[in-house]
Amino acid sequence: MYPRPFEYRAVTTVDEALRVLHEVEDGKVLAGGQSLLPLMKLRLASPGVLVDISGIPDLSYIRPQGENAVEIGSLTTHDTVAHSALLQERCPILPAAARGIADQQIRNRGTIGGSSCHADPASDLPPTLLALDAEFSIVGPKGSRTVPAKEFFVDLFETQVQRDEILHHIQVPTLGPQWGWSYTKFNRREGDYPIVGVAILVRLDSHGRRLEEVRIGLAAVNPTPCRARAAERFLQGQEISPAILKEAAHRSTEGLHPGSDMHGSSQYRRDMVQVFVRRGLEEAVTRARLAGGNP
Amino acid sequence: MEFQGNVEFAAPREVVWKIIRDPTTVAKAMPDFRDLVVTSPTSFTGSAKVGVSVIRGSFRFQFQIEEENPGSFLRLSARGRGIGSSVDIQTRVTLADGGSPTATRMEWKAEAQVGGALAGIAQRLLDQAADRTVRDIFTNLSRLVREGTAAGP
Amino acid sequence: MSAARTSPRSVAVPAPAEGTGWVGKSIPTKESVRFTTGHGSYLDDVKLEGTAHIALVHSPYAHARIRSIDVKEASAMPGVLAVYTGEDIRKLVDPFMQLAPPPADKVLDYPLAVEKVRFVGEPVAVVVARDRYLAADAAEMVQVDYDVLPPVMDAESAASPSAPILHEAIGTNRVWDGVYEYGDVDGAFAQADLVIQEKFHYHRFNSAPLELNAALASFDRRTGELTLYTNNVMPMFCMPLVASSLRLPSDRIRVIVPDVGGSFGNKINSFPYMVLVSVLSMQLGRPVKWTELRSEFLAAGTHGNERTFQIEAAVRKDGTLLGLRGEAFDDTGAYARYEPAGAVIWAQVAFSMYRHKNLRLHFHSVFTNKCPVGPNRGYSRAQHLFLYERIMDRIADRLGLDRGEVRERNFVRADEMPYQAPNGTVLDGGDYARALHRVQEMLDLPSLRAQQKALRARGRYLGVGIAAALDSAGNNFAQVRVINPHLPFSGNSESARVWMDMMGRVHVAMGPTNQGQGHETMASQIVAHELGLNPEDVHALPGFDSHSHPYTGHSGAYASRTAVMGGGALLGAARELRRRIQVIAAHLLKTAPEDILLEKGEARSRRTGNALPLSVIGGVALGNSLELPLDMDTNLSVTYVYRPPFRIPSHVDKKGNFTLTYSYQVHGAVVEVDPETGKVHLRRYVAVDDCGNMINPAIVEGQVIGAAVHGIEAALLCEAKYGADGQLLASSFTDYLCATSLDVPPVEVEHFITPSTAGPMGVRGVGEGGGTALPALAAAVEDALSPFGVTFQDSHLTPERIQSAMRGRAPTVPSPP
Ligand SMILES: Cc1cc2nc3c(=O)[nH]c(=O)nc-3n(C[C@H](O)[C@H](O)[C@H](O)COP(=O)(O)OP(=O)(O)OC[C@H]3O[C@@H](n4cnc5c(N)ncnc54)[C@H](O)[C@@H]3O)c2cc1C
Repeated sequence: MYPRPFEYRAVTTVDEALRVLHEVEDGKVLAGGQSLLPLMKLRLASPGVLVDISGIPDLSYIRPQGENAVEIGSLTTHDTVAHSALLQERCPILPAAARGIADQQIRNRGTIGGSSCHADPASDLPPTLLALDAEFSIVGPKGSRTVPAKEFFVDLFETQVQRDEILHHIQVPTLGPQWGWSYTKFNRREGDYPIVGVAILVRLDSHGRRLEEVRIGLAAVNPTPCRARAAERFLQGQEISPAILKEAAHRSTEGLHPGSDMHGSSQYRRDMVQVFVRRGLEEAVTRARLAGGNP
Repeated sequence: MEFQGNVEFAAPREVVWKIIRDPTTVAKAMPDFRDLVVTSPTSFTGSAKVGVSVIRGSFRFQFQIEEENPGSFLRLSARGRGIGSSVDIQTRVTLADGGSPTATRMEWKAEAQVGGALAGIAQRLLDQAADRTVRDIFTNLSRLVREGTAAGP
Repeated sequence: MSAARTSPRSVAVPAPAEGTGWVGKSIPTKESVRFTTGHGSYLDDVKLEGTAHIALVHSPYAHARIRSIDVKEASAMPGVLAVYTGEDIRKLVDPFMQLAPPPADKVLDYPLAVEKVRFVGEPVAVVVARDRYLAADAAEMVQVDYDVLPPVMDAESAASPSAPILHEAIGTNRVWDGVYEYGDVDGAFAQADLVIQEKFHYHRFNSAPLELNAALASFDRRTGELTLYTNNVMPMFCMPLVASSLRLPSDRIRVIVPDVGGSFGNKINSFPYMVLVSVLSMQLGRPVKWTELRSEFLAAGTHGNERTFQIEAAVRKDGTLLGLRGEAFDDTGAYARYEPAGAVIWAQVAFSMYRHKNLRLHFHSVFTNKCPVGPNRGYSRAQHLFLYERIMDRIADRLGLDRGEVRERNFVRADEMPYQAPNGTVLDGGDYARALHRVQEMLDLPSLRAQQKALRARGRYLGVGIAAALDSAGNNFAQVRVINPHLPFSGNSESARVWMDMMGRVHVAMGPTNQGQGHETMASQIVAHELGLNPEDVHALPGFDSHSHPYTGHSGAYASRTAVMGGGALLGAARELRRRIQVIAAHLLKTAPEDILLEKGEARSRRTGNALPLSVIGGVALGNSLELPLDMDTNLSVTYVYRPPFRIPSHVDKKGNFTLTYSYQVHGAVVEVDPETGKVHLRRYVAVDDCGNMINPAIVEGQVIGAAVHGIEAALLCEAKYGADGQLLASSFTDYLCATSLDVPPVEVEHFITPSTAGPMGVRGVGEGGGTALPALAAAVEDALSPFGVTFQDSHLTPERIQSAMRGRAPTVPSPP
């Protein structure tokens, strides 16, 4: 647990962070440190300069954006997300996903921005943000831009955020009463990264019978967090029945190439995606029906 | 882990062969390659940065041409060591006549084995990371061949 | 047996003196205050001026020949003092003594790999630098060139003549090989109504001590003395290995063990590192320290013995086990550092708790390209006990009998105790069937069965598993002569010193190291009990120091032995000190020694009621001694060695008393298995334990719970898993999954107390727990999934393993009555 030598720069404003990142050759943003530092201690990562942004006061917040959205500063910790009353009211799937991350100590340090930028395909928040069609606001030397979730995650550990940029905030939509959701994390031990993670959002018709819209985000099954588009398309407009949900679960593995490890082979992960998409859909539908007064 | 691919070049086999047989081409195809030393007609060394995104480290490689049939077949082994790990890649490249008389078809197969710290800690990501790394190398190689053949013999 | 019928949780105490009966009381452990307030002093807390630190270079290959090692660049790095390869070290030390008989005694084992590497993570070179960061930086610059060889990854294929050989010097992968045969095995099979054939696999795992292996050596060139700080928990047993490897006389080596943060047996095998830092300190003339990384511990510490059984059981229709025969393959990893002791240790529990008389086991210990194995909580016995429990379940299932009933039919009965098993081991009391009944009661088995039925109708799968196991404590070292008749070990012993100073304060020191089990408390309780003191007023020396602590060659904290062996030594020393105090007090109080009662810090005449505080006794004896007759013994320091009566087992028939005393336990697990995912949810866990008289029931309870959780995590979460290419997959805590409090329900514990007829104070020893949770959980999972008709042969049950066994199977619906 002895990292290679590195330089450490603590910054206090976004501008200063961008300036330092621009100046130094081999800079890397440090937020909560819960992904970057373990890799450095294992010597699997060795950035030359750590630019610690955790001291920037105005990047940690959760605030409403009008009625229809919530903006979350990138330094907001998993614990804050997990306990946010505003998110609980407007976008409860996100606190649910954050609650299951690691343990309390890690949730106290780890940030939503760090989790997004690290883009470990097994993380819990990225597939949830994908399902939410969240928007990512990035600032850099050339100003700021906003990237939709479906473009944000580029490849294994790679996002749209460039080396000299930082993720400023993430915007998620308010889910109306016709929406139901579920987040399932399947692992062997409490708090571990999921073997598969499934984030589901469903929007029902006013009778609670038909699926108007379905979004399924998946973790740990591809080089990036991804959506089960084939299953989503299949379900759109369908009348809800066990057979339909089962068929959708079956289609949710289309295009997946899960890696294997000692906790789950590629085949096992595919099987588990099917199990948890089906169960997750059932849970989300039940929730939507309850919320819509159609239990 | 095994990977393969193929690509066609608009150049005759001898030209393509000359380029891929050249250690400097291999060096340029590797990510951040430094310190190329040709140690014998069939071996060379140097270091490259291997990994994806932030998980990346410097590896020293020993390349050995294990087998060759000029103009048609090359078996190259690359044994790399760094960050408490080993990365061993066995590559077989076959050249054949392409669709036109001046075209060459290159087929490649690579077998990668990772050992040590990376093998354990990154097991879930290994396939994907190795796939990407090997593909990048062959994409670079193809680009270098294209550039080389475009420049003319 | 009357004591066993006292209500659970009540404690029988050996004749406690009125008001001072400290033995048997659950007092809080004295040392836990310093441990929980950050004041413990572990090895890394020992700071010596000028200490150099090391970083190891590890093999990324399971099997390879070292072609060359280039240390030029590393040696030139800032802060680097020296770089040594295995070849350099080979010139400075002698190879470790091997326990195995020929030809495996010719294996050359050094602290660093020489010529070849034989497992992933094996150290091949060492960098010594000013600090650990610089050492780690330089270690990355050491260039090792290898010729990769094919690895051998399981014991059965390693034993085949065509397998690649790990140690060319011996020309075979076999460490040891031998047949244990007791009774008339073939006769038993001839009588059988049913023969069951099975293959079982006990997986590899180890423990997760918070503090890892560590060593600090300081060689004083002036005196020629080496001070070796280590957290090895059997340091004096290792001393002959260390001294001979270093070519130092043992009087030049002082061993100091500070507080130890857990071991579970694993730290016994740290001697190669003790030698490494020692030789480096001798070379460089300054202290050299090593503290292990978790990744090093997982890859190159000690794994538990991985064992495969191919077994046949001869059974009568009524469920009686008549005989067992088959083969056991022990995968010992790449070096035999404590092995092949495991090839005999299991025989302490050869027949488990059962009455059958016939057993033939061909035992193979085999080298493979994995981490060396060695003691791990329940060393070599848990594997064998797992076999028995699974066989009992198989017998019941095959004959359509109840799993509990089959055990009961085969258990040694309470009225047969003490019971001599066919291999000469003696079970010294207990009521196994009653413990089983109690567990069934605690679980409320009938209502569980009703619940199981109701849930199955709704597609949910509840299961219950019950398993029993022995814990053997106080091993007879002579059993290693079964594997090698020339080994100079036998018996078992422990030493304790109890002394009183001039101010009448009492001190105690003993041989076993303290790795967190509360030895200081246990020692204080026994001494306080005997001398009429409060345990708070007894000063138990922490840790171990060969200059201040008494010891024997057997000393150490291993094999559930400290309460038994240490307890015997403490009792002997305290009683002799009491006698000497009584003699002096009797003289001063003008009465007879038998009239003197030690109570509340005083020596009092029962007859006259006159009393003297112990400070007066100490003061007179040690400082004012002319008040006493010249021929009166004023030595108030007593060292006592406890040595139970053992005999040397015969290496021909492999029979003998391998162990002094046995505790036993029955565990019950209730699980729910998700049939689609294979995930096991542990709903309840109960344990009944009988370790005889308890010196401190709270400590016992902690050990029982700890052992249960250790077994639970081994069954469900922890596996030192290797890939087919020899890579260690569980190489960090990301993949080596230790249970947390969120994964395990509260363990409900009850105690039976059947005083041992063999151990001192009626104590049986506790700590290892026999790995009872592993068969209990395997049984529970099978029970849950019985409608699917799946069985499991492995001690480790991953969700994927369970799910893939279930694939394509539908539950059989119970037919209506
Ligand atoms: C033992 C353990 C268990 C864990 N289990 C889980 C789990 O079950 N589920 C889960 O989802 N996660 C898990 N995590 C990861 C945890 O959620 C991390 O907090 C998260 O992945 C990274 O957030 P961070 O703030 O700590 O980022 P850091 O580690 O500081 O940074 C991570 C990466 O993101 C970059 N970065 C960070 N912030 C920004 C920014 N604002 N702009 C640009 N780049 C940025 C950094 O440069 C770095 O490359 C676990 C971590 C540990 C140590």
